Amino acid sequence: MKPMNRRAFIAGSAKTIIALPLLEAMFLTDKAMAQAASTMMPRFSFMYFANGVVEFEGSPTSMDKLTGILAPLAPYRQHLVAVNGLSNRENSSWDQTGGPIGGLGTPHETEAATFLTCSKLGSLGELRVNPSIDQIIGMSLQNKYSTKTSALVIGAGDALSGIGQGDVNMAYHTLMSWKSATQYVAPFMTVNAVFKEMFSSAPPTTTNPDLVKLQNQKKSILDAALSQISSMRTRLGTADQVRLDQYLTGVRDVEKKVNAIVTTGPACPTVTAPQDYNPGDSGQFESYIRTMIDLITISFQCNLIPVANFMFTRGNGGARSGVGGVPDDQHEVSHYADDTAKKDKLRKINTFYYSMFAYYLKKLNETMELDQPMIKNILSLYGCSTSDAQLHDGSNATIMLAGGQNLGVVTNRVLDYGLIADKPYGTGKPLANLFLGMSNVAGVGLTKFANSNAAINLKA
Amino acid sequence: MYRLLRLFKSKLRILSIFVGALGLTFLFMNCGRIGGFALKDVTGTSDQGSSAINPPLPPVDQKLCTTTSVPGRVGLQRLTSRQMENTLRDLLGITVTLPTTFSRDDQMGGYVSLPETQLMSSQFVDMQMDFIFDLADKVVTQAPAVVISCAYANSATCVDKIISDFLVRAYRRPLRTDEKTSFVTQYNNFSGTAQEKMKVVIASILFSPQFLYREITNPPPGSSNYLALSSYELANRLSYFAWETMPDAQLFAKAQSGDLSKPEVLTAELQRMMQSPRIEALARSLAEQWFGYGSIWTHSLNSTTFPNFNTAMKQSMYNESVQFIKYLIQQNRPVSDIAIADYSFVDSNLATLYGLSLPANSPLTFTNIVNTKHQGILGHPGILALTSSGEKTSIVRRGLWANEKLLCTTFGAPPAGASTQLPTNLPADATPREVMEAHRANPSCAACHNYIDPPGMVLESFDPLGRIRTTYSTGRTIDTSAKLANGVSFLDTKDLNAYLSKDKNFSECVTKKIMPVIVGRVAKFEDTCSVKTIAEGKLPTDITFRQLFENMIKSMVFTMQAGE
Repeated sequence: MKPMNRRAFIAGSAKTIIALPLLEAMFLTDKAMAQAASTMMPRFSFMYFANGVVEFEGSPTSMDKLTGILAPLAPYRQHLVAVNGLSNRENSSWDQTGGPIGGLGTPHETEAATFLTCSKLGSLGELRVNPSIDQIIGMSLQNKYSTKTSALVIGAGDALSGIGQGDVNMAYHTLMSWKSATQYVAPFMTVNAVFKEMFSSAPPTTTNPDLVKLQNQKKSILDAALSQISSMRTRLGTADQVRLDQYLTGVRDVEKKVNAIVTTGPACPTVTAPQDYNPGDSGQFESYIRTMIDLITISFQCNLIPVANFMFTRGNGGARSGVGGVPDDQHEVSHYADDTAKKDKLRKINTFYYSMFAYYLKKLNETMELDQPMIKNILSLYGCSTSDAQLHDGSNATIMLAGGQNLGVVTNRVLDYGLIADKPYGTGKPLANLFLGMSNVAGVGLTKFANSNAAINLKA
Repeated sequence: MYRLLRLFKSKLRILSIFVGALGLTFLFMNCGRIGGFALKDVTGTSDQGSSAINPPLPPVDQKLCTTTSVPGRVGLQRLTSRQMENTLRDLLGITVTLPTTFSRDDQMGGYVSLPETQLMSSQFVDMQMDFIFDLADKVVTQAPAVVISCAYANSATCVDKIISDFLVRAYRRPLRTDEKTSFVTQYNNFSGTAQEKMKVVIASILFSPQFLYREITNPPPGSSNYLALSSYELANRLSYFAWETMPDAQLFAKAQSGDLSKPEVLTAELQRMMQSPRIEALARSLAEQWFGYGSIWTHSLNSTTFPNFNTAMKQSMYNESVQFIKYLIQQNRPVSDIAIADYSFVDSNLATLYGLSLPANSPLTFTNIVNTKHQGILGHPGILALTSSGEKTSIVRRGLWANEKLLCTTFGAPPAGASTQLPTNLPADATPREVMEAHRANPSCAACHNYIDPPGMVLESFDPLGRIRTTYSTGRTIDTSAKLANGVSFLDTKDLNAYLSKDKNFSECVTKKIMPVIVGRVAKFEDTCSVKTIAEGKLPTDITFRQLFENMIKSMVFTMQAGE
């Protein structure tokens, strides 16, 4: 049995603070509160919508201008940082010679897999992606705080739709979170699955003999699997060894989970199973997103995960109609050209997706943690690799950060790196700089991420 | 060679995967039956043995070949979610339902059992652990006789028997040295009740990669060597494509005796399996993986315009194509029926789309399709709905579908600098055909769209639900005439279907399309000669769909494994 770990102790001391008589608690200064919060696990979330927005309408020039599609975010401006003009262009369809990279198509096909990895992708039959920033941060915090998983990864269930996608591996459309070059993190696609993963299984504790017994059984199964894997491995060719090693990584991750000593956060509520919604049904899509956001919020509140990652849709939105009351296919609408009717439809779709992020911020803001709104303890990123849906070339990412003030993030500002349409290759500041900055907030200790050339300082 | 082909492709951006006219020397001769190997002692602890390096290859038809055929290589295939569910059912003798959250299969071009696309995630392993753990609990509690064959609580002999019998069936092959011993040791060393010990061992076996993956013996790496599949490997390959599950008792027996390595025995086993109702599993695989039905459950159309495109309708559409394929196989119908069948399977949901009248709640039944436009797979409403989006049909999606699925013509991404947006300066009532004509005015677009669009234009005679229409909502008449890039002209779908039914390439294309489902890899340039041999150089009217399967399992594509 592992000794009680550091995180269990921290959570325990946090409970003590909560348990102070009301009067004493009231005398705790903001600074003391911030200090208490600083011993908590830093948490991060990454949320994604597909296809970009109308021109640069997701990139405000000042925080007083949260209007149009950004209007739903206006009540939270003091928590927000708009990050404009960063480029993920190296990873979009056209390289410096003007040709498609690795035989891949437009950013629709590659956006999901490039967004948080900032990596060039291998072509058909040759999956090649860098680890994504959510996993890098999540794995580092998992090691430090012994959480069950590195990240809760969620994606709407249209991951496999679509016909005639040419040579592009569907994984690039649908998977945003990558542990290593070839190993993705599969999104949970249903409400039930997320609930079960996060809340329905009681964690093993040293005091519950039944749970200890189950833990020992699982350990024996894991040991047997490790021995079977190593005997099979010797008979395989190198490509098959890579496949088997992915299984091995999974077995090791389950081992970590089995050995984790789970302690809940200071304000963890009892959770009952929510209603399941089908994201493929346009009438249920909004309820699906809201319910997932509720589950993410509670998972953070209970300190179960260091990172949440939620793709509202797959890379090009899937064959999805009815978003924001617009009956048309959302991807088709994103090619608005000079069609003002289409632009208005896309604005409605964009507004819908921003209102979903606003709902998340509302939940984080309403949830109190050590007398502070939880939003201040969590750094959240929302956006996509493209700014102009019509161009969708990745040269201006649409990014909004929220919260994290207790992690040192300075909010209520715009970080502007120059919104210039269709930047020449290699001239924009890399999006990877922002991710490197976020990893600094997490205290990961990276010096470089993908094609970064300097970290963006979010703390000053 | 393949590299050369890729280069060719990237330059021209369009081609059939097979170019049969590169005039390469044909090396392998027509020489006798396949090799084979099987262990007599299934439960013995001896090694799997190894077959002779480079055994004689199955015959190819040299008259059809201008290129060399060499054995290909299939990587480590993981059981798909359906294969796992079926295998566990047959292995454990209890009802098994995978959690819905678990059934995610990675796919490439619709195919789900290609090792290259079967990525593995920690979540999968995690869910697998929870699922297997609960399942093993069920097994020791319910104690089905097929697994718990004796009272093991106080009998080391019985423990030994249960473990070794179960291992052979779970690993689906003779055991290797130490495999049984390691699990017997685990049983003995685990501290708990006999039932807990057994649960841990059963769960461990099901959690092992030997259960989850289908391993094929590899020749030594680094050369052009190849091996014949062992009779057990043949049994597994056969069983997993035909029934999507582990081999049954008879197939295991033929593997154990080694008879399965004889082509006539292998063929007889396939014929037996094809006559069984369980062959529906193959029909489902083909509908999902070849025709693209795997994505119909998440496909949506504008719900205001098409409120009846609901789950019940999707189910009817899916069932229609599945029953159609099953019928082709079981009734030994010619390949041409895929294009020109004057029958299908219609229920009351589909009747409304076919313009037929059936009483409410009529189940799916064999139905003559009199309207020639609606005949063949291109008339199936499910296909026509899958290739539409929002409230509209799409010439491009339908054209791509027909090209990729029936003509085996694939396209790369649009060329650099090409505008993927359709012209917007046309009159408001411009037809989709006129929009595409304007798009093709740009030569860089026309290079591919001259191929993509014609079948799509022909299929404009169907609305997004597959109902026949003659005008658009603007009132404009639909012109369904089109000319393929090779100069062949059509007036409507009847002509297109007739063309396919008389095209020798169609027999070969169907062969290529079924190959990934059967062997777990995509046909490559090196398989050209094998594919031609399987299709026998015959017109689609002159060879049956079932014959393609029988020919394929006797070919080197099925029976041989190359080194890395």
